[in-house]
Amino acid sequence: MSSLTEISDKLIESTVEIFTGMIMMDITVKDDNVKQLGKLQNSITGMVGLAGICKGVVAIHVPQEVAFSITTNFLGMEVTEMNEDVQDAIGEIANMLGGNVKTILSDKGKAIQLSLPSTISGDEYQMYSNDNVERVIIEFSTSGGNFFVDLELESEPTDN
Amino acid sequence: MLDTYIKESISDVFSTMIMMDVTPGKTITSGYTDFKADISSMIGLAGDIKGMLALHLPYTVARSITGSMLGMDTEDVENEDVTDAIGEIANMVAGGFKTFFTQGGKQLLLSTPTIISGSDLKTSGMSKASSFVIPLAISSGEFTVELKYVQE
Repeated sequence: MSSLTEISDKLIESTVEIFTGMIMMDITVKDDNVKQLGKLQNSITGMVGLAGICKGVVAIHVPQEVAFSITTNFLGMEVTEMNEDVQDAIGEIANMLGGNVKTILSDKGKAIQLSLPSTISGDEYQMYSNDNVERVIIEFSTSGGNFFVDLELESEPTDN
Repeated sequence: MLDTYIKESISDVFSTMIMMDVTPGKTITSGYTDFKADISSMIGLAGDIKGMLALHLPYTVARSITGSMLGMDTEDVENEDVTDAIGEIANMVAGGFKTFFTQGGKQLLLSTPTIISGSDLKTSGMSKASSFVIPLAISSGEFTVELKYVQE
């Protein structure tokens, strides 16, 4: 689906914008087409649902250490443990990414709404999507470690 | 009222697609955090109600439901079957909920399902949302359905 590549490029742009503009962190693309996301360890995932003409999910998967440094930069105060500030920060980033994806897709005249952001964290977990979903996973590098941005879009609209 | 819609939807899905008897328990409205789940599937909600509908299941219960839905022996059920089935079930329960909720002109849009496996997971977000949990019992054990929402 060639439009998925366009979307992926714009998603990379958006992520870089959010990180340099709002979080004051430099990030680079490590892998713009991660084939499979295996088990996530000691990580936190922020996600928001997309609904309407395009249905899907936008998620960001961040190892704890990277989440701490993101939150530290975002809030301007040092964070060294998993707490509400980290959860809020990661949830907010997912929300911003979702908003950008909504704009990217809405530009083509598609009406899309976001659900509410949430986070999940733990020692070990894995996130799956169903077969009728196309998934784009991009790995980014920061000075303190890497994280993933994960976009899932329904490939064939169903009647929901 | 919203929990009634969910209970009805679950009852429909379990009798028509899964062929298992399910008994809902009393809706829990405050501070339930002990999900005892190994696998969860979530559907994002948008429109006149925003939030999330989630199923939380122990893995053994998820496998037995999958086996029943696919007409397979539980031993032959693979992890991919479980993640697909649990995602699809959340989708159907949310679809049924949507049918009830949108009677009378309200809007509800659904995202695609997200399935997460793992234990002792911490969730957060939607701090200003209302929420409730419905415990459900089937022959192979218990699971829960959770709705977290903000209504416009």
